[in-house]
Amino acid sequence: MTRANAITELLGPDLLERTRGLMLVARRVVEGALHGLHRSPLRGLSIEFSEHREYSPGDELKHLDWKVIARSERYVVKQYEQETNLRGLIVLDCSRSMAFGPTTLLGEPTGRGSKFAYGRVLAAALAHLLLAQGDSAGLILAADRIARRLPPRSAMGHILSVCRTLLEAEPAEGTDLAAALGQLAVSLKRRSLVLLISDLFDDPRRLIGMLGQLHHRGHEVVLFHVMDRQERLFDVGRTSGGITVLRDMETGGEFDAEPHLIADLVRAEVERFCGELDEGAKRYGLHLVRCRTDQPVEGVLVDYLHRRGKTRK
Amino acid sequence: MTLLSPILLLFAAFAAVPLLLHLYHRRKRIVVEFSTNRFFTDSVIQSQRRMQLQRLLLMLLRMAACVLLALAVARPILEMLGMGGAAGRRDVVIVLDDSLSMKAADAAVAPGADRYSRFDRAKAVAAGALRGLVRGDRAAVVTFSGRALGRAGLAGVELTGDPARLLAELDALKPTDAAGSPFAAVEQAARIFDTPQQRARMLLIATDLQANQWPQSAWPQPRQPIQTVMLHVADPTSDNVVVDSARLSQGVAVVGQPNTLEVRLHNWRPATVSGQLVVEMDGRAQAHRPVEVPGQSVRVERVALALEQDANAARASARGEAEPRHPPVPGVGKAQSAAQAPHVRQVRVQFLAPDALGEDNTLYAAIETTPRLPVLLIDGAPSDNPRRTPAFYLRTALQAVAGGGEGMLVNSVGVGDLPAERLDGYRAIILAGVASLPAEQVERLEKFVRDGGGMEIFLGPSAQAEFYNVLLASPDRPLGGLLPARLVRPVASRDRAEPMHIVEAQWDHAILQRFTGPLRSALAGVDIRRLWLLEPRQANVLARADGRMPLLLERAYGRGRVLLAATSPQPDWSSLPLRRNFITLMNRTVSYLAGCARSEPPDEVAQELVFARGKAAGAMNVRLAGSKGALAPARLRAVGATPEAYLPAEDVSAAGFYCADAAGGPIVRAVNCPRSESAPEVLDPNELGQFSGRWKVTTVSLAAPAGTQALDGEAALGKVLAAGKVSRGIWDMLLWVVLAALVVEPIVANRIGRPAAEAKAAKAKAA
Repeated sequence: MTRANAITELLGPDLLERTRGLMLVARRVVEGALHGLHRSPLRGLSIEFSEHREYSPGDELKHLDWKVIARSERYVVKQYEQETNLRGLIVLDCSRSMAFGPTTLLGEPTGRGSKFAYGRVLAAALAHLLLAQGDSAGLILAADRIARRLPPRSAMGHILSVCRTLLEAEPAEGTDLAAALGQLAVSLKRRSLVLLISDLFDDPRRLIGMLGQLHHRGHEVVLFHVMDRQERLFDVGRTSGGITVLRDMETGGEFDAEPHLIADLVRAEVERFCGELDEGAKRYGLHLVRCRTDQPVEGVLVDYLHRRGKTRK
Repeated sequence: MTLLSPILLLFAAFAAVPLLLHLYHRRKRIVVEFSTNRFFTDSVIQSQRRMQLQRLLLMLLRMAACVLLALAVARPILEMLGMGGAAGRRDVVIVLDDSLSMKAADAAVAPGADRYSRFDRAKAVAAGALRGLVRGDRAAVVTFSGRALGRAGLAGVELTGDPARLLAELDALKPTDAAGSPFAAVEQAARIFDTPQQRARMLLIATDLQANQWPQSAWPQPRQPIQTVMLHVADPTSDNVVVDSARLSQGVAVVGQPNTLEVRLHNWRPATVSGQLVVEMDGRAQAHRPVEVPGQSVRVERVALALEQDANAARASARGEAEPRHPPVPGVGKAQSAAQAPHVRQVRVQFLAPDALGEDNTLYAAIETTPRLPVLLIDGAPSDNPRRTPAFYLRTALQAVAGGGEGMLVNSVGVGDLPAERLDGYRAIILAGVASLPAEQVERLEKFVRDGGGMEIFLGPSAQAEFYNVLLASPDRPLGGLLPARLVRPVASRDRAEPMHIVEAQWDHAILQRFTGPLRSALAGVDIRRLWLLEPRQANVLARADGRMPLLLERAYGRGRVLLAATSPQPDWSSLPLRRNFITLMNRTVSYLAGCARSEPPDEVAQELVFARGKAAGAMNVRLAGSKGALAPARLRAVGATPEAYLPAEDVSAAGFYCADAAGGPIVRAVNCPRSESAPEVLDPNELGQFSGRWKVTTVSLAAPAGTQALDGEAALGKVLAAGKVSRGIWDMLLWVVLAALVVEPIVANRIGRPAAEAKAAKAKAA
């Protein structure tokens, strides 16, 4: 498959058009230094040396290159090349629960894709955004562990690898995101922008805790919480009135339900779950974006980026 | 529990609909994959279970409401033990059996002695029941004879809350001599109970449960079930002796001719009863002798009656004043007609013996006597030599003096003179050797016999078989024709020296029963040389000749009878007219035919009494023989175009002779107590049959052992009320319950699965 075909298949011309003018603005500077629209959080320590220039009054004395002064008795200051690239790492949940969405509880087609398909599109969009603005983008497919890893690259051609990897992946595992994120936290050396696309069907405390660790390690974490409408609202429609056996797609556990009886109670549980995530995200300073598979991806991105306060014209 | 409209209970089947729907949906079990079951927490699971249980309970509530609604429209009646709890709200109707049988005592009592009767016991219990009522209770009393005690209402007697007044009226109540009808009393009780109020109701019936009073037919029913207590006040072992009937052995009483009154005595007791049989006619003793009637049997006593000419009638005939009550006999003068007028003899039969019920030991009979029997003889073969005609011999025999009496008044006419002859003045008609008759004369003869007259036909040599077979013996004729047999052909004995004889006869028949000993031998020795060969048709063959050929046949026709003799009373046919016993035979025969009219049912107490019809019906005063003063004037009415003088049933309240002064002479009717009341046949309460229905019957026996006194009414009442129950309709209560269920159901349904406030808000937020 060619790169153009892969990109076209995933993104579509509309998405490309709308997100072309946008820039991904990071609130926290990843290692590699940012300039222009980016602000580096490292404040020079991790800036790479670029060249010397003559000392001008007013330059900070700490930037004097004393070795050169000792050798040449010239007063010069070091100039650093800030790493303008964001090191983006897109983490896509590929657990089995992400496959939910194409059909209703009665087996009728919903007209929507699965959460994984939605996440895939979102991941590709994010990768393209990053690569288009010269940032690097990497991809991690994770479920109960890191299943596949594409290291971040900044070449635009990397989008092809990303898309292909996304297309090749299928949700098939159980969920233990916290463990996968733990793996990620250990392996992640450089500060990155971690974009987690998942339904977050894991223990919220463990999950948030792990995400918090990532944050504490200097990474910026953005959570894209993807849910299907049926999960979010338990809008299961008019069931037969009889017993509906709900089988967990990951554990296989079954529950005899009368959906119309418990719809409101389940919605309350979902709200509590979401509330718990919100609270955790807020506590650790994580960005949490709620999206439903019946909402367009571009709308989610635009809203998020606008909320971040900067678009690229 | 009883249901007034049980068919409506079928609507309860709709209660199964929610259950069927529930079961139908429950069997649908589909398995689908869901992303995660993490949101189905323990609280969700428990809540679901709770809601499922609530929904089940709601379904049961709906089903119960449906069933209760169906039950309510089926109008159930609950029966609860004991009326005591409903004191102050009780309606009691007491039905008293005041028929003749209730006059019976439990043991035999000497005639004229005081006795404690069943009616006295019934009154005592009724009084006890009335004394047991309290303020607010209501009562009424009705009797089998139609009397009612209570408060006068627009529709008749109604319940009254004044038991004291009822007690006073009850105390004055006496039993009647009538049969009584529980049907009318029960119908009246059902009407009295027909009030809209919900009250405890009870029907008490005090009766001796005589079987004939309770026919197996549709009884009037109340709108809702009512507890009924049948108070059996008779000792089933009480017994009775009754003068069942008295009738003349010879159907008609002819003045001067001996006659016998056959008195039938029925002993219902197991033991033999000894008593005095007393028979009086017009106040003069005819018999007074001791009689023993074996137990459980019927004895027939024969009493000879001396039927001399009535003295008043003799004086009236001498003055030529009296109008004959029957049409004048042609050829007879007015005075002679008056002398021929029948008169009524008042016969009283008594059996004097200790008895539980004495009223049926006396029987009254009004016997109509006639000085001479008018007989019409139709001579079918007049001849210059009368000694060769059967009519000559018949006329001679009938006019002969027999037993000291004046014989028959015989009028002999030819066939041609018959059309001008009035037939209603005769008691018997004899056809002697008639060859044939015109069709219209045959019709007149048919009507004569059908109305109660008697006819004898002597076939002779001139009889035309075709006429007799077509007009008198054809099935197409009214009632199948007069003749007892079809004519085949005349036959003769083979040898003149060896004539035929009577070889077989019903010697116990009323005509032949006098022929005993030598008389019988003489009759059997009559030579029969010629006779008609006959084919009997629905006939009684009274005598047969050689070869079992029918000789004398009898057939009932309407209210009369026809006799057919196969031979002719003429010397060349038989030697019968030349024998002395021929006179006796003819007298017996004609007397039998004259008295063979089937009598109407005897007149009984409490039944309407008809005195005269037609021209004879006019203003007349009626008195009861032996009582002072006039009873009541007879009433007049028109039955079609015929006037009728009668006494209404309520004026016929005692047994005896009812005498009416009519323009044509006194009319006497004998009225007796109904013999249906005499049989001590007690109805098995289990055989009440269709009476039960909504009358929920419990039977309580209050009979005292023979020889003891009456029961304590209060104690009897306690026993009665303990067995009684209260019936109450509960459909109004059920409807209230259903209404409450209909109000509660939507509230409960709304609360089941109702989202918590936070869940609702969460949905709004998520949306």
